[in-house]
Amino acid sequence: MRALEALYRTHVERVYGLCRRMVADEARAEELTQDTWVRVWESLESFRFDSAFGTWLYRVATNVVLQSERGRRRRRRRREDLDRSAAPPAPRAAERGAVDRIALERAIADLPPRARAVLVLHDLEGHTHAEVARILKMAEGTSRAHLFFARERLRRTVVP
Amino acid sequence: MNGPHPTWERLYAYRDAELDDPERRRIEAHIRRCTTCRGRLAEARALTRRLEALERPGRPGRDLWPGIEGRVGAPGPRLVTDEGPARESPAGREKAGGRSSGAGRRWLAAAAAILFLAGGGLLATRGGGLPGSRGGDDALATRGVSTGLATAAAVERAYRPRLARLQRRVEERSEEIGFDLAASAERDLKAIRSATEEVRSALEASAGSPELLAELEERYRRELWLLRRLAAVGST
Repeated sequence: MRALEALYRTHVERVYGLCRRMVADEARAEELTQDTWVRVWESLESFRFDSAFGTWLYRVATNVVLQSERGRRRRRRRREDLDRSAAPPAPRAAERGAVDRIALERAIADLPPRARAVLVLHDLEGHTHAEVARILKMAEGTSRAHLFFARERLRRTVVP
Repeated sequence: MNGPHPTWERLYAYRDAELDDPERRRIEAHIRRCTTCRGRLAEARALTRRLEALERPGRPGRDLWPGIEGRVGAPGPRLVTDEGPARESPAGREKAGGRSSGAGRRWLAAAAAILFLAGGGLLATRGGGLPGSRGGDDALATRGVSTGLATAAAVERAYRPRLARLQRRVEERSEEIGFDLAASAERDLKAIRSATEEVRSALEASAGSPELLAELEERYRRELWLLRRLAAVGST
């Protein structure tokens, strides 16, 4: 247990950062961070040192987030259909920066899961396409295609 | 003629500096003459600027460890953290002794190896691939005698290959070493390497200083001594 705690304390910021960027909700990011470390505990013996530990850890965290997304997207779409009937008031100028940031984070959270994962890992976490491909176990070309799709979706949604 | 408009995909690749030179020059020539594509490139840049402006999330707002510990079981006391000594859980006091199964030992070995790999990265990032060591320096090192090496580069050449070999041997023997000893040694190695970096920085300002060179050698000798002791754990 102390071994797991030592690893947790060393890497928690990295894992939480990834989860927080994948979901636009702090409480959920904390839950997913905990889920990730439970998964690490359950599967560390299967880590074969055939990749960097950081790569493997990112893979575990991404899989935890992607798996938790199944089903949530359908439930969220149904809620948004109900909410759309009430239009929000226009933000004041001072609030616009925060509103823009929130809008961008929501748009990222609304991306299809794998495209979102690629965008977060490449554009927000700074990984190369080769690294993203290793983490997500996909071809580099697939990573590029997902990134293009994600950027285009965001550009049409949030760039004025 | 401007030629065909580059696709959005090629504009993003241009923005990411991923194009080869001929294609990059073609797109630049086109953009100079095409207001539509200049506008598109500006949109692509605006998006990436907004993404880059998103703040890094940082650490979670609270310590998540208690929740994790509760889900995986809680044998043994917790580590002291930066926030202060951790409370020992009642379950931890009852379950003293930890895991003793073969699977538990393998898990601890895996965790110990990861800690060593994280520490050994310091050696790798300081520019590996140095020429091989000179013969006979091991005896001098253990006697604590300065070899009289005249430059920091010479000290590095004398010690770093041996340190790298010992680091690998320690990683291979991580199961025999065990997690507790590995964690303790990792803390000592961090302190030694931090002191080494300070001396190296000082040598950049005072190249060739005999006192600093002797100090650098002493740091490397301590690291060698510690790694040798770890590598010898459990061997006959």
